[in-house]
Amino acid sequence: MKIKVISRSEEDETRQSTSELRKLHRNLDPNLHPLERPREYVRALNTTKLDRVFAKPFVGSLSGHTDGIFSLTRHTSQLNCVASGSCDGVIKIWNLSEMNERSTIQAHDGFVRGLVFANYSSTYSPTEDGNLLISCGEDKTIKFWKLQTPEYTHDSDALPVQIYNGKNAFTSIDHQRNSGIFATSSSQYVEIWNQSRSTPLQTLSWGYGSVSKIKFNPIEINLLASCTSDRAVIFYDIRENSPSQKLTTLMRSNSIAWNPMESYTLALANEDENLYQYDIRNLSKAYSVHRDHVGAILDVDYSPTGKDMVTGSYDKTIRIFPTSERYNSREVYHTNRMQRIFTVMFTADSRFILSGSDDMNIRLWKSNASEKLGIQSHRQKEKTNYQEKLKEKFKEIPEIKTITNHRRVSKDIYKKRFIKNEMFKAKNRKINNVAKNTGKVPKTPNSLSSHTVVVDK
Amino acid sequence: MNRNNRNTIPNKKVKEIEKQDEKEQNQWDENDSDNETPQTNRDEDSNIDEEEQETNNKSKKRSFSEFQMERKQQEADDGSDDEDEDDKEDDYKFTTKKDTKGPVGKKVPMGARKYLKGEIVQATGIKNPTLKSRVKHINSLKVEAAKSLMKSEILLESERGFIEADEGEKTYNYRQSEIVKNVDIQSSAKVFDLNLQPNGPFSFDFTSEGRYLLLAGEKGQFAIMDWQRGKKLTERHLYKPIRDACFLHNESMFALAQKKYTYIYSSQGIELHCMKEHFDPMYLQFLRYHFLLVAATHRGELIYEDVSIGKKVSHLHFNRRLTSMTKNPYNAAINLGYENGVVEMFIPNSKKPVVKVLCHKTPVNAMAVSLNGNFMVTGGSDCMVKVFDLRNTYKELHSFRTKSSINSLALSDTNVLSVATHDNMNILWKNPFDTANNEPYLRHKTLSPVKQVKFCPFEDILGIGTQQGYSSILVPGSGQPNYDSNEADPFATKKEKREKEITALLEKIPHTMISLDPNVIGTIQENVQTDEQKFKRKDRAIVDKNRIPIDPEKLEEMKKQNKERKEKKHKDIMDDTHRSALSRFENKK
Repeated sequence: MKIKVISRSEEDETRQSTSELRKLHRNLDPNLHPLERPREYVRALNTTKLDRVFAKPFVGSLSGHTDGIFSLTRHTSQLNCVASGSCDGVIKIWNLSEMNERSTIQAHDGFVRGLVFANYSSTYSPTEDGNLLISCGEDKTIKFWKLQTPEYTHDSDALPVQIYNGKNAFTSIDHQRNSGIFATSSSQYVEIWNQSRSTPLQTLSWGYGSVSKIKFNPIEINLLASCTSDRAVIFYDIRENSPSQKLTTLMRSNSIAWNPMESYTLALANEDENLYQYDIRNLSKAYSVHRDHVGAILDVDYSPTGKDMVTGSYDKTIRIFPTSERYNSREVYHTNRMQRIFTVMFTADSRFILSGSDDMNIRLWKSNASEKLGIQSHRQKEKTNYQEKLKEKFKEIPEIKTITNHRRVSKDIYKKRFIKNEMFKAKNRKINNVAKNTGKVPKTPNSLSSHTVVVDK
Repeated sequence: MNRNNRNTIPNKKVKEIEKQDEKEQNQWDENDSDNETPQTNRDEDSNIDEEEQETNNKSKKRSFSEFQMERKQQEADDGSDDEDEDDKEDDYKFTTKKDTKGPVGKKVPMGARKYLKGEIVQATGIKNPTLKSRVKHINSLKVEAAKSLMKSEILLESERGFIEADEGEKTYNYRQSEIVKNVDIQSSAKVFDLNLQPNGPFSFDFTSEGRYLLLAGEKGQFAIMDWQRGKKLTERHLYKPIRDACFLHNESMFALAQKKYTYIYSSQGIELHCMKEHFDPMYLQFLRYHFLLVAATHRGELIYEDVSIGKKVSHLHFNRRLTSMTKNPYNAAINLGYENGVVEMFIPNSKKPVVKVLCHKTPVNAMAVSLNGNFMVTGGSDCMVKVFDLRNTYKELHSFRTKSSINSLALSDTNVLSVATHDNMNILWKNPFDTANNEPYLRHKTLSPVKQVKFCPFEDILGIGTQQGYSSILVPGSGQPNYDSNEADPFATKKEKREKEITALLEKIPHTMISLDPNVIGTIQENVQTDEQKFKRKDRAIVDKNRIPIDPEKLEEMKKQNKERKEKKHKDIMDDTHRSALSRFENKK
C-alpha cells in the first residue's frame, strides 16, 4: 500500500523570529476564491469612495507677484523650474520643489505677454539648455535674460543681454525646439526671429484680426499655429514665406495648444465655453468637443503625456479633460479666493498643474486629485495599480459612476450650468417643434461640424 | 478524553455492497426506454475522459428517467407546488452560465477553462468598429489571463494525497489502523478519538483555515481547541441543550444554537450576545464573506443576522418541517431540506425560495454542495444519495444506494464525498459526480451513531461527531494541499490575523448582492427596458385603448350640424338689422 497525506512542517511554514519574513503562499484556483466578483466590486466601491475622501488636489500657492499673472512657462530641462510674468511687468523664476522664488526681474513697462526658456547660442547645445529666458511685453520690446547655471537664477539688478524692439505691442512668444528661432505675435502680424538678429526674419499675416496666441508644434517644429481675434486659427509653415491654412470658427479662440504626442492634434480654448480638438489633416470638423465650463476658456495646455488637457476659464475654475474616450471633464478645481484664470500649465512630469490667476497667486495642483505624494513602496504601488484596474473594471456600474463623477461646485457655477443645460434643451425642443409643424425630419446641428465656419488654403 | 483505536468493518460486508451495486446496474439496464436527457455541461474539474462521456450519458439517461417517474407521482399528489417550481426556473434563466464554447472559447485549453473569468461575448453583430475591436481585445485578454493562470499551477508546491492499493487489494478494505501505520508520525497524530460521554451527540465546526475545532454536545458541553497541537482554548458546560454550533469569521467568536435562543460566545467561553429573535433555533450557518449568521428555527423562520453591525437584515419563512440545512459556498445561498423530500434554496432578498427541487420521497437528512457550486449531493431516509446538477437544470445526475438511512454528508475541497449512515458506517467516495464510479474509496465504522461529518479544510482529515464524542480519521486526497495565504492561512501570525479581520470587514459583501449567479454584477443584461421605454409603451397603449373607430357617416353628419349651427349664429348677428348686435344677450332675460 502506498499512501501520501498532506503533512506540513510547522518549522517551514512559520518564522523563527519576528525579523524573518514569512513566505506567503498563493493558489489561484477559483474554488479557493469564492464570490470573487462581488468582492472585487466591493473593493472597487471602497476605493472609489476613499479616492473622494482623499481628494486633496491643492498643493500650495506661489505668492509674491503684486499683480495678476498672465504668462507661465516651464523650463526646457529642469523639472522644478518655472517662470511667470505679471501685468506689472515683473518676471519671477520659481523653484517648485522648495515652493519659493529663485529670482525676480522687473522686466517690462506694462504687461509681460510672453515668456519662454531657450538656450543662449545660435546653435543648440544640450549643456546650455534653458539658460536663457526670453520675454516680450506690451512695451514693444523683446528682452533676453541670461540665467546663471546651475541654479537658473538672475541677479535682480542685472540688465538684459539683448533687447529687440518691435513695431507693435507683443501679445505672445514661442520658441522653436532645439534651434535659435523663435516667433512673436503683435497686432495682425506673426514675426519669425533669429536670436542673433535684431530684425525679424519673416513677417507673416492673413487678415486683420490681431493675433492673440502663437504656438510651435513640438514635433513638426516648423509648423506654427496662431489664433486671432477675428475667430481664425492660422497655420504657418515657417519654411515658406506665407501662411498655409486658415480655419474660421463660430467664435474666437483664446488660446491654442498642440498635443505633444500627436503632431496633428490641436486644442482650441474657445470663447463659447467649449474646448475643441481638431485634427489638422481634416479641419472641416472638430473631432471632439468638451463642454463643461460655464465661462469663456482662456487657456489650455496638454499634459506632456498627451492624455489630459487642462483648461483655465473665466468662470474661475480649472478643469481637466481626458483627450480621448470621454468628453466631460474628469476633474474641476476651484477655491473661494481664486479669481479668473488667465494661464494654466502642466509641469513637465505631468503630475502637477500650475494656474496663474487675477488674484496675484500661482497655484499648484495635483493632476490626479487623490494621488499620494512622496515615495511609495513597491507594495503600495502594486496596490494602487490593482485598485485602478478594479475601478476601470466596474466604472460603468451606476453606484460607482455617480461617486466618481460627482463634484461639488460653487452655487453660481451650478446655476449657470443648469441654465446652460436648459438652453440647450430648449434649442433642441424648438428644432423638434419646427420639424413637427413643417413635417420635416428634425435636423439637430452637429456641434462638431457646425463649429467650423470655413477652411481656407 | 481517551484516545482509542477505531474498529473497522469485516470484509463480508464489502462484498455485500459490491453485489448491491451490480444489482443497481442491472436495474438501470432494464429501464432504457426514455429518450429525454438532462442538458448538462460537463464539469471541467472532474477527471472524466472524452471516451467515457458517452457511457456517462447513458447512465444519466437512466437515472433521469427514474427521477421523472418519481416526479410524476409527486405531481399527482401535490400539483400546486410544482407549478411554482417551474416558474422559478424560468425566472432564473438569465443567471445561468452560458456555454463558453465558440470560436474564441475553443482557443482556451481544457485545463484553463476553470480559470476563465466571465463569459466570452462574441463580437458578432456589433456594428461600431471601435466597440467591436474592443470586445475582441477583451476576449483575447481573458483567454490570455486564463492561460497564464493555468501556467501558474507550476508554482504550487505540494500535491494531493492518495492511496494506491497493492495488487489484488481494494482501497476500501484498508482500515484506519493500517493507514495510520503507513504515514508519518505527524499525520498519524491527527487521528484520534475523543470520548466525551455522556454529553453527545456532538456537532462541530472548523474555522475556515482548519486550525481550530469547535465541539458542541447536545447536552450542553462545548470546547474550542487548536486540535492539531492538542491545545484546548476553552471548555464549558452550559447544562442546556445545544442544537448546532458554528464559528464566526475566525476562532475568536462562535455561535451556539441553544434550546431557546442563539448565543454568541467569545473564544474564552464568555457569552457575548443573546439573539432573542432567533427563537428555538435548529441550524446555524455562517457566511464569512457577508458576515451573516443564518439561523433556521423550529418555527419556520430563516433569519439572517449581520454580525458585523449586529442587525437582522432579512427574515424569511418556510412552512415545512426542516430536516437539514447547508450553505452553497459558491453563491452563498442557503439550502434547506424538508421532511417531504424537497430542497429549497433561499437568498436574503427574496421572500420565497429561488429554487425548489424535489429530491427524495422521504425526508432530506443531509446535503452538501461542491465548492464550485456545480453539484449538490443529498441524502435521505430512503437510503439514497443523489447528485444534482445546480448549474442550469437542477436535475438529478445519478444516485446510489446505501445500506441504511443517511445521517450526514460532507464534501471536501477536492470533492471527496463522505456519507455517514445510520448503521454507524462512513463511506467515502472519491469522484462522486462521476456517474461511472461504482466503487467507494474508503470505509470506516464508528462505535456510535454519527451526528455530523465534516472535512477539515487544507488537511486530509475527516471529522466525525458521534454520540460518544468526536473522532478524526485520515482520508488521503481529501484536502486541498495548497492554501492561499490571502484567503485562509493555517499558519498566520497574530498580526496577520488582526489585519485580515479588518480587511474582511472592509470588504464585506452587502447581503443584497447574494444571488444565484454571483458573477452577475458588472455583466451586460440583454433586452433590458429602461423606464423611458416602459412609459412610452404605456402611453401608446392607453391611446390605442381609448380611441373609438369613427364612422364616416356619423362624422359627415356631425360636420353638417356644426356648419348649420355656425351659419345660424352668423345670420343672427349679421342679418337681423332691427336688433342691435347685443340683443341676443338681452333676449335671454
